[in-house]
Amino acid sequence: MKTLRNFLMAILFIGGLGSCTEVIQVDLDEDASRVVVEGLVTDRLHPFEVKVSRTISFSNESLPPTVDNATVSISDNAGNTFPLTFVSKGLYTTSGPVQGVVGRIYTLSVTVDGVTYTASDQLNAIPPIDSMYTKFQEVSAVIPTEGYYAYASSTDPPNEQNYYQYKFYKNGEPVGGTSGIFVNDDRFLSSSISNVQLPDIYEVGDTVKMEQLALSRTAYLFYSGLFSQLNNDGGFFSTPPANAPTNLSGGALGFFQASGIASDSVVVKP
Amino acid sequence: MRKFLFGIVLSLLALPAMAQEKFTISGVVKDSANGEVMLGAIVKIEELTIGATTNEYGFFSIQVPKGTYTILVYGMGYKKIRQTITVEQSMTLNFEIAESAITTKEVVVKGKKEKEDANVQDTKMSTIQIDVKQMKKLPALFGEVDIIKNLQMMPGVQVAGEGNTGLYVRGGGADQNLILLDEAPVYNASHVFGIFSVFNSDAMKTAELYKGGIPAQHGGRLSSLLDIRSKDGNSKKFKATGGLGLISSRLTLEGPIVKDKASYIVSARRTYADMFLKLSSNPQFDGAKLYFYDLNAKINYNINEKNKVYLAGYFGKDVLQAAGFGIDWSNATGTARWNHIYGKKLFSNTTLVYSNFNYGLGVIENENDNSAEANSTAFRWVSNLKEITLKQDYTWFLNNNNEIAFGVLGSYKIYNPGELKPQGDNSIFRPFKMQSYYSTDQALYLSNKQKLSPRWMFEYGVRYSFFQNLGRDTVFTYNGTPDRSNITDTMVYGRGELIKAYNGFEPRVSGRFLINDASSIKFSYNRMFQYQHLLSNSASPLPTSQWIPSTNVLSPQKADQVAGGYFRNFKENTFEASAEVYYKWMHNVVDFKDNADLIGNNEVETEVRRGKGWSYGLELFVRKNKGKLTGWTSYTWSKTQFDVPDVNEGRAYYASYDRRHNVSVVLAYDISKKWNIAGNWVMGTGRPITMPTQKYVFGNSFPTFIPERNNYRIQAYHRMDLSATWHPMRKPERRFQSYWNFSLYNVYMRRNPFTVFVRDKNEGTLDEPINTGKKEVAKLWLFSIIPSITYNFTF
Repeated sequence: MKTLRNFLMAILFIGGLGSCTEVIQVDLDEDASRVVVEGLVTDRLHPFEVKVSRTISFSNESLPPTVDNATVSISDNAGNTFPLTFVSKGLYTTSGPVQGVVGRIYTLSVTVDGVTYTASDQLNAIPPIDSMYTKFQEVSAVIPTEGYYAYASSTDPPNEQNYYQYKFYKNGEPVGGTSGIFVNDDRFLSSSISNVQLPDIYEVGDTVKMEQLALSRTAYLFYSGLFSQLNNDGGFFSTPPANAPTNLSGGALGFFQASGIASDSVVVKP
Repeated sequence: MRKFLFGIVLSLLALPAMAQEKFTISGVVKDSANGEVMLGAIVKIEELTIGATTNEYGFFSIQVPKGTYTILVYGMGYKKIRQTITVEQSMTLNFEIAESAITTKEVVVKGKKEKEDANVQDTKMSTIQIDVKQMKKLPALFGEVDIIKNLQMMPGVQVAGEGNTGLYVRGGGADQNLILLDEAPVYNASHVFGIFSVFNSDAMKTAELYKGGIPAQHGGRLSSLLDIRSKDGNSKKFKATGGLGLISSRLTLEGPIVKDKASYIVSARRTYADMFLKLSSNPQFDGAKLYFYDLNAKINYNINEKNKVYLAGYFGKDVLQAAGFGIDWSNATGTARWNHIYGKKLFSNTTLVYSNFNYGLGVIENENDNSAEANSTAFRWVSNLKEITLKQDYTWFLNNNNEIAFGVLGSYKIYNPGELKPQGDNSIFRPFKMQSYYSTDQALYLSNKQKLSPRWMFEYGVRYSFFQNLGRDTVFTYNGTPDRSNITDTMVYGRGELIKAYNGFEPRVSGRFLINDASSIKFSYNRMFQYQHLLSNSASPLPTSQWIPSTNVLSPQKADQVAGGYFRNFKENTFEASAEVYYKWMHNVVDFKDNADLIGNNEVETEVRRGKGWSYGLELFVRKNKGKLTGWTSYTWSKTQFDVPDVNEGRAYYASYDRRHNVSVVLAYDISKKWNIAGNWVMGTGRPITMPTQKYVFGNSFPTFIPERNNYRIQAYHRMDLSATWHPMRKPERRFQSYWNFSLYNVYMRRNPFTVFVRDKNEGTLDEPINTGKKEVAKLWLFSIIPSITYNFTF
């Protein structure tokens, strides 16, 4: 969507039409605060993490408050239960590292002020990242700024419907900003997903890290809804703004995700 | 109903037998300057106070008893012909009428006044005719005179956003208008995402929009019919017309092939903004393209008095490429028509129509770069829709009181929603083709325009439409709401096998009661069915939106509309005024569930939600047709809502183009022979958009919570444009004529929102933004003041 907006801007610019944005004041209705849950279970040996917070009014300029008094637990369909304990600022984790199992369905239960919210997701297998490399690129029609760009290759198992999420880090910091949601549906992909340019520009010495996560269809729909919402241009190319479809019951927002995860990294060399 | 119709038909057949012997005068009315046939010209027998109006092909037919009469032929803005005729047998009379000289003096009609008052006299209501000649005097964005932009200043027609050529007629969506160019449907009438329309005004003769009271002859869309007819070409002499503007240049060549028998016209328009790109050394603009063009061509041949054939074609294309990404789309239409007159009373028109709409988009392959990563994401997506239609229409001028229209049509359509083609050897994409849809449809209609008494006139008819969705296709059936989770059955249909058939009974009635010579009351009712649906989920209909036919799941859309109005002319038709009210019920209208996935989805019906809509409104209109000062003022009050299960949690919501008040004022003034000035002002209540109430944190991002669809109204839209037209040497004896048009768009520089959206309010620098979770609402506005100059010539 962002590409399309950039494309539109370029077209308007070339056409000499120009365009400008300006901030406008809107007077929006007040609404009730809702519980927000963000949970992740992966097949990597790592504590399971769940964040619980609340929504705040759109125009409120402070950060949304965390919920520190929730009761949180995760279970799987093999009969295991993992209690999570409060760490700090709305974060709850298992007491030690745990490893999710491919094919299992994980269920989250969060109780806040006597109300219980639940969600389930299936942990799917993820193919590995085959290779990563970086390359210096001059300015061209598709390269707006010269510099080092990172590339990655992976393999999509043919004849099955897969959904992917990608996360990128530059020296440990997430790349892509606040609207950087990278998800993909393999509907249009060949089995060889090779030499794909990653976001951002790098310098010599930078570490570029990439994580590839397997998503269920529900998770994919949540993230693509989130992407559309965060990148909504107000209606030209975009669909009407809508809520990202949560898998939580009981009126909570957010998502509980179970994913297979693969990662790789590369250091930029001259 | 059936009994009633039978009674009427019977009474019609009985009529001629009872009447005294009558003879028929029939013929064609043309413009004497260029030989173009005149539609809507009036032919009157003064002594009998009877008359007829010419049809789309300039044909008329009147019955009179033996005798000597004065026949009058005239049209709006044309000099009247008065001729004495003696009728002893049926006869053919063709007329050529001349345009009233362009004069700054009021045209004073001497002698007995003939009223050019179709506004009051005709049963037609809820229609808008665009005067293509007058339109050229009015201000235009970038100097591009545009039929659709003019229609948007008429009552009952809403605009979605700044500079958008989508038409929203009486609460209907932009996908509910049947836009016909020489009877061929144009599936996407926009250039540059709707900033311009595809109709090159130099090639167009007439444009008429039917908002209601749609004749039985037409169907297929819920809301409106826009009937645009191109010029036939000058059959008297060779003529060239052209213009140079900021955006495009135009050239039209027309002339006789055989004088007064056959003529041709070829008209072309192309933009040249991208020519300047080649001068740029910025590598960002390498391979950038931005242009559109239109090509209209037509030939017509009068074989003899009974037979005339027309061949018309249109081709237009947009190409937009930048930053390695490109979109292109094109429309092609073709029409072959044969007019034949059986005897003196039966007019026949056989039409073969072809229409093709294509679009493509993709990441463009860079052939100069062979590195592995250069073209890894290169692909091209193509989609198209083809239609071929054969129509047979008859008008039977039974007698002076009954004009019967009947006909039949058959149509075949192929929809290719999309095909993905990987580009180059390194593409990560695989070839992917969506299932095509095939459909056929047919319609029969019969209607009569009947003068019951001097005061009462009716036009009533029925249309019966049939539709079939055919294989080859794989079809799913669902248990309840179409969703992937509740597919109950999968059926595979072979080529041409019937998947689903629908049909619809579409009654149409309109009536007029003449209060006196200058005022009348009219009413109308029409039912429409629509068997094609546009999958567009954005506020503006994009060229990349896909049409699909009705399927086993997508039943046809249906609308019923009633309208009533008061029509009044003042000062010998110097002013025409109307007040209309309407109510429209829409059934099975298409909307989409939240986060609908419409691209490359073979189960796209799972994303579509169907429901009802309703719209009602009041439309006031005053137009001044004569004198130095001409123009119109219109006011519309309207309300449009939808109620679609699964959308907005089942609560009713306003249409995204719902605007409570709309005002337009359009004025043109002839200062002298050389100068005229014009201006317009338009205003509309802000349209509703969807705004959040709450926000939260998720990962690194700050999503919002949206309680309701279209819950917030943006600021009102208003804008004033001015123009001046200068004719440096206006002498009728000179063959070469030229004029300049100077336009100012958005004179007082109002920043009307093009889109409004929510974004993060970042702190820090542009390069290193720091997100603190604050949000803001921004509007994007396109046009500040836009001056333009257009030079036009003709010789």
